[in-house]
Amino acid sequence: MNKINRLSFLLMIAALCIFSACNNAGGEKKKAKKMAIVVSTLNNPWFVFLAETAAAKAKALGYETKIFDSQNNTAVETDNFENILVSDYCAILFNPTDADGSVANVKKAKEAGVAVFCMDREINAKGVATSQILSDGYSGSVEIAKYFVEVMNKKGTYVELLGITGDNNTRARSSGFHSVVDNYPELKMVAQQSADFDRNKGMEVMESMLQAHPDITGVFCGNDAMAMGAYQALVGAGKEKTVKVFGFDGADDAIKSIKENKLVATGMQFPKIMAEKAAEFADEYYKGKRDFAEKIPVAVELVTAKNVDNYIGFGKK
Amino acid sequence: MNKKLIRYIVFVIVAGLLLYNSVYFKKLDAKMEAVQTDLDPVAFAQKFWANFSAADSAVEITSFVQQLKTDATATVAKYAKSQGIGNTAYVLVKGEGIVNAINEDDVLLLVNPGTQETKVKINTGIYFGNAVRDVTGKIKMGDFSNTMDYNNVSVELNKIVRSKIVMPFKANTKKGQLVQFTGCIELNTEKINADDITVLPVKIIAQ
Repeated sequence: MNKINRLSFLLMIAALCIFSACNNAGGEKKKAKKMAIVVSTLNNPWFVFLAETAAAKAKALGYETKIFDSQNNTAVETDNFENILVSDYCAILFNPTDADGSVANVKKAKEAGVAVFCMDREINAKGVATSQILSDGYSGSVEIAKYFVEVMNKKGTYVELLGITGDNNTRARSSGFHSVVDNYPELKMVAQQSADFDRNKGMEVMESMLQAHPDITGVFCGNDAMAMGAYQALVGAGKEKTVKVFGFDGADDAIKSIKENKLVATGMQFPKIMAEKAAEFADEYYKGKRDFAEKIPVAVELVTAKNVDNYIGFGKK
Repeated sequence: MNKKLIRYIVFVIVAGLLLYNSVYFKKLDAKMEAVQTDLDPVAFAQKFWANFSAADSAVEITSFVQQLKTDATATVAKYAKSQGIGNTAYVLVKGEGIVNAINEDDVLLLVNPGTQETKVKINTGIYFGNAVRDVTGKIKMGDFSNTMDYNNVSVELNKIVRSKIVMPFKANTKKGQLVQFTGCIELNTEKINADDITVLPVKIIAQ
């Protein structure tokens, strides 16, 4: 009898061990139902919308959420990741500050078993983030550029306001634009300067560009905040009727400005789609799915006075 | 006095060196191009082009247009390839037609003249989209660590198509000529117009 009891006790222990091993298969410990949302900046309404939409979707899926602001600074981003990795989050919905500089943070999260889903901006690494849902800024800028060529009647001088120079979106938007416009020799870019995706800097840069190049007839800006700043500078110089301003993002004030014939066009990105998709992917990951597409481009649509009624800030009606 | 002077000179030199090494001027273009990528888009595009067995998987143009008119959604789902989330999709088609008109940016072909006549424009203008890269579905964004490489591959493929296919065709085409083609159609899946079909050729034989 004693022998039988001892045997069943040993069997129970073995079963418990097997059960516990199965539960921790692959060394993965079940984390809390908490998602962290890390965005490059909360000083731009577009990123605020991205963060809040991701948080709202995650909450609707039953997760606790917290938004972290990296203040466009990779050091702050690193601090955010360190805090997250000791706080038992199961996933990070991540808008990187720097395509190269943010890779180390994502690697650390991966090593700690926390899945990272990039939104809008990419990191320059394969097999590190679980999935990257990215705005196709290059193709969007190609569409804007085709319209720019048409509106400018294939000739004239123009200037370009770039975003943050280390950012992949800055490069993608500028390259897409020039891949079209540079084919028209009578369209000449006379100045190109960074205004860091910032409205006030956009205004300042435009003011100084106008002093050096008072005869320009077009401005291409890497985002809507800079486009709105540039437009303000043009109003100040009394040139808002002669200089055509093109933005990128699909922000609320840009859509209103297109309706009022202030801005000529913008590229509508879809932050709602990207944020919600990232939250849905993170939920699927939590539930056991592991097979995700490494990068998913989200199309950018051209918004002009002809089709602006189909759009609202950050999306379609 | 001398010691004081030497101290001043050393201080000025050290301060000057510190200041000189703290400020760098770089051209914006150089900074923009500073990101190193691990891929040669020209070589990648040439290799892809060499293996582009276009004719094998292409759908016959008249049949495609008829199906598109009957049920656009099902036809797009059956034949089109697209990347990610959006309204742009690409289809590889083939067919033959008679040159009816030569315009600045296209050549109008009449396919099956008289019977099930279909008008098809062959694009001879500058093409800026991603049709050649995306029409087979074989090149994926996730295959590239940097999206600029992915975009540059598209640019290089467009250059190949323009120099090897479009320009020779544009230079030699004549009204009344029989033309056999294989090429890509770019569709906006939200606004499909089966009566306005433009094909970017990837293979073309004019007789």
